[in-house]
Order: sequence, then structure tokens, then C-alpha cells
Amino acid sequence: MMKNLMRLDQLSGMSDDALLKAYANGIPEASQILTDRFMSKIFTQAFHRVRNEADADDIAQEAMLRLWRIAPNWKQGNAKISTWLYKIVNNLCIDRLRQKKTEYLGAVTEPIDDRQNVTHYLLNQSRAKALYSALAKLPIRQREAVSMRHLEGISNPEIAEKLELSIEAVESLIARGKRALSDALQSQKSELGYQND
Amino acid sequence: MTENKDNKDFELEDFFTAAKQTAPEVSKTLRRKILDTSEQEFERSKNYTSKKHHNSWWNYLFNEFGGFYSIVGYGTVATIGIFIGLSNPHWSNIILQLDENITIAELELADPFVYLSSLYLGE
Repeated sequence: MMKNLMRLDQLSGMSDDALLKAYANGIPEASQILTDRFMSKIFTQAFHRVRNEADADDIAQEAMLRLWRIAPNWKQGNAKISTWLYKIVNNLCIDRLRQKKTEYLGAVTEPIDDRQNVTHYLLNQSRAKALYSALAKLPIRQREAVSMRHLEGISNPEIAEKLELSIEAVESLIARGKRALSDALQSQKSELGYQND
Repeated sequence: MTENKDNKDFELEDFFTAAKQTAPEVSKTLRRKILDTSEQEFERSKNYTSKKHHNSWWNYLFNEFGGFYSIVGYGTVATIGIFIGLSNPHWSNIILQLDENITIAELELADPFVYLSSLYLGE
């Protein structure tokens, strides 16, 4: 147990690539650190795309399984694991949406929290639905950039790397995307808890 | 105009916040499932590697010929055979000659005056 903890402590300082190599070379504990580093990010990414918790769970699990499988053949320095995972999750989401033919605005699955004000909760729900609906109408690159920046909290340089674009191009995509979103949501202001000017 | 734009951005931020708030947290079950699959894959790849080692062509060949010691035996016999095949056809004479030399040396050791006595006897 103590040995295991020491090992985890040593592993936690390692880079993603080194951890994957360690896993492939017979140190199973490395997968724990990698899971903790990526699980939340890929789940959030998947959820904001498929809008269904169970599907997002499946996608995150499948993406990580693919990571474990590719571990023995992973070539260090070729691609960042985060970028590779981003692409895998993206493709899995596209496949899932195709399979289910689900709209971007699926059912929001979170149950009502008793502590939360019901009115506020319902308002949040309708705002979220409206946002996802407006996002679905954006061109795919704009949608991805806005979603990554504002829903997943990824920095512009990271988005640039994932989308293989310059930082300026990402900034431009986000700005245009937000403008289009604002325009799309303007018409629904009164229904979404805002007073018309 | 600027005020209007800022106001729009502020409202948009509300929408993003709402979307984030309605998104569920990552469950512990998901973590467990991911770690389970990592363990399964780890075991699978370990078995595959050891099977790969056991199923290698040279391993099959060794087993076919009766294992490592048999192979060493065959190798030794083959080496001797090749040596006999390639060496001087009269190599057996070398051994006989060697045997003669040893006999003379033994005689010399047994009786150091053997030549001397034969010399005297000859005279």
C-alpha cells in the first residue's frame, strides 16, 4: 500500500507521454494519474456535444479504452495526448449523434436539486437549451471554438493546437461565433428572463 | 453601441453559465469503469506479450526437436560431423602418430638408459 502510494507520488510529476509509456511498460498505476488528468475534460467535452450524461459516460470510457490500447504503440513527440483524445472524443460524439439522430439540444438529464431554487433551475434549463440550439446553427468550426472556450474552459492556445489553427484564427472564430449567438438569442430574450429594451 | 455590445456579452455569459450549471459532474462510477478497463487492457496486453514469446517460431522449433538440451546435443554432434567432414582424410593417422610419440615418451620415462643400453648392446 505504502509502496503503491510512493509510486503514485513519483508518477504524478511525470508528463502525459511518460505516463502512457510507463503504463505500456508494466506500471498500471500510471493509468490512474492519466484518468484523473483527462477524465473530466473529455466527459465535459462529450456532454456539451451530445447533451446526454449516459452517452457522455460511454464516450469518455471508450476514448480512454482507446488510449490504453494505443499505449504500446504510442510514439512520443508525435501528438499531445490531450489533442489525440480531443479528436477521438469529437469523432465518437459525431458517430453517437448520427446513430441516435439526436438534435444538439437533447434532454437535460440533471435532476432538480432540492436546495436550488426551482425557478432559477428552470430558467437555467431554458437558457441552456436556447444556447445549445443556437450553437447547433453555427458553422462547425465556430461551434467548436466557442464551446471549447466558454463551456469547456480551454485556453485559446490550446484550442488553436487542437483545431490546428493559429491563435488569431481561433480568436476570430470565437468572436464571430459569439456575435452570431447573441444575434440568435436576442429574439428569445423575453422568454429567457430578460426584459426587452 | 459599446454599451449595447457589452450588455450582449454579459447576457451571453449568463447562457454559458447556465449551460455549465446544468451539466452533470463526472461520476465516481465513470472513474471506476475507466480504471477497470485500464486494468483489463493491462492484463490483456501482458498475456498477449507472454503468449507472443511462447508462440515464437524458434520456441516451436525447440519444442519440436525435444527442447533446449536436445538442440545442444544435436548441435555438438553436427559440429563434430562437420569437423570430420572438412578435416584431412588422414586425420586418424595423426592420432596414431600421437599415440606412438606418447609410447616412446613413456618408455623414456620408464628407462632413461634405454637408448644407451641398445647402443652398447649394438656394439
